[in-house]
Amino acid sequence: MAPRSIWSGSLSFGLVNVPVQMQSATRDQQIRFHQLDSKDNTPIEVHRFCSEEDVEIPYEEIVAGYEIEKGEYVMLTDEELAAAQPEKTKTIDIEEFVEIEDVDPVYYDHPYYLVPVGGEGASRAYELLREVMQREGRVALGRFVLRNKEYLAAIRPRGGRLTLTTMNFADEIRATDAVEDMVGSTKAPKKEVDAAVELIDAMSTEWKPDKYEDRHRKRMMDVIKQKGEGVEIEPVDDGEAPSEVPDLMAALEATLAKAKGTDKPKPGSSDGLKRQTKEELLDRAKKLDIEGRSKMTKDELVEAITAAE
Amino acid sequence: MASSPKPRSIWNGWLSWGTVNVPVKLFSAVQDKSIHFNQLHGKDGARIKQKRINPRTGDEVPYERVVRGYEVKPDKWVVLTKEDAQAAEGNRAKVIDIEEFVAADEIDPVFYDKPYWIGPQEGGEHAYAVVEKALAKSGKVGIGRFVLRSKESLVALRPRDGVLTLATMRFADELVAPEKVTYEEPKKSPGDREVGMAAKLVDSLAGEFKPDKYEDTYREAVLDLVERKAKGETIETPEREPEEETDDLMAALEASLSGAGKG
Repeated sequence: MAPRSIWSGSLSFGLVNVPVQMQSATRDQQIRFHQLDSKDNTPIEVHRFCSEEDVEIPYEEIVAGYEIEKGEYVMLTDEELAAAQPEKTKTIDIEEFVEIEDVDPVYYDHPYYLVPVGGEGASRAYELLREVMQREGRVALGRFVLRNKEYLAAIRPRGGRLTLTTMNFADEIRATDAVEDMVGSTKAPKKEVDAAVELIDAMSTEWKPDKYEDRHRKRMMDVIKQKGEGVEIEPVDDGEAPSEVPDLMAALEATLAKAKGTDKPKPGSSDGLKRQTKEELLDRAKKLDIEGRSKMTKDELVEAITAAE
Repeated sequence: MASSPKPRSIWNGWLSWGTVNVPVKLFSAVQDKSIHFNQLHGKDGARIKQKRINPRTGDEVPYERVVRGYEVKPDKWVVLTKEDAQAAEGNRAKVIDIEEFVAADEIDPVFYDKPYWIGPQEGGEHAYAVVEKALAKSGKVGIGRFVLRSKESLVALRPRDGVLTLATMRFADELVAPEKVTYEEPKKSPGDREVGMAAKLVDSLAGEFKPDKYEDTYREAVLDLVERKAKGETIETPEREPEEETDDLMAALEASLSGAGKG
């Protein structure tokens, strides 16, 4: 299926205009639930009614209302709202180029891809911009209008394409002063920091995003499948909360010994196992060929797996 | 930035890494300031209310009768109770479980979803300060899992000027890989002269990232419209003209550069 264009217009830097289309860079993988009427399991539809007349209202008769005082609204039509948009709504105007590492990721909101449309000229200009930004390690900042709202956007190269990410405005990022106050003037002793750095290095690995799966999604699908087969769903326990560490240095050293030593903190340490669901434990027991696993309780599974690993 | 009222934490629990456990609080880092409208009935200005309707019977469905269903095959629904859904939640022991560390610059920002600030709870300040310092010093980001509002997320733990931040992460299969994005590639790659000119143009527009200088002018413009409309003014809609495509790339680059120099 060809990806849908969400926006089309022109990307412009200086006097160079590149006709582009915007496509989503995300795919919704959420499990879709529907609201049902429990009486007959019919999917519920949501209809819009006028609160005064109690009659259903067609979509064309709905307007946007801004509440200026409690219960008092100013109505704005789509045409009127368009007047709030900047002059150029079909252009992403690059205002400046900044260093990639200077952009704090908290500003990034939603990612999209930009692709050139309209032939050789557009493709070449796109390629040119992508290559130069890649080479210089720069992000382009500009504004554009999407679905009636103006956004600040960051455009950068990724995997041979240009991505556009909408950005939060500075006043939408909460100040951190309250959190700083909580930390106060607490000092981090050098010895402990060094031990922590050593531990971080020992537990460091390459960033391989593919290896993380959405366990929540998977577990939810498992639950749905079981329920569909008429299996009773067992409640899970909350797991044990950890306790505070009286001696940070000792805890760092203990963790480091584990990370470096023979008993690497493999996912098989029983602490980690206890936090897994029974289904996950069964899965694992199966891989380890543990006999009698299907009749074991959760605790017995943890014990058997720990012993086997 | 204006001094803000004392923020309320949205979650309290433990930041846990090996045998190191730090009691922490979590705060939203983002505050949505978009203007929100209500839906009104244009004819009489009354609020629109939504009704849940059973299309088979035409009845309005009271809240108590609403259940959550998943369609396993067309028209076959599995109903999940709250307890069933809880079985999928994962560890609810209130732990941000850091499993490993990766170099901060390896993570493409498209993976970051929602940002949060982490603060220490009373008694956790010391360990908090050590973790923050160590992360900053190592240039690493902690990767782990944690359950917020009944959903387990992959998270990244990052230092930011003395404050620990947490970001929920998108899973790899929730992102479209660049290779999947196709477009007509140019027959002729940009030449050295064009690249050189474009690099100059980028340099001429180089700046520092100063987020404060970008204001949400749209938000202000909408509020201004509301005010004018409330006073009974008529709002006129401007006409917009589309940009034209660049025919001669080299000429456009040259013209931009001479323009950038002047202005």
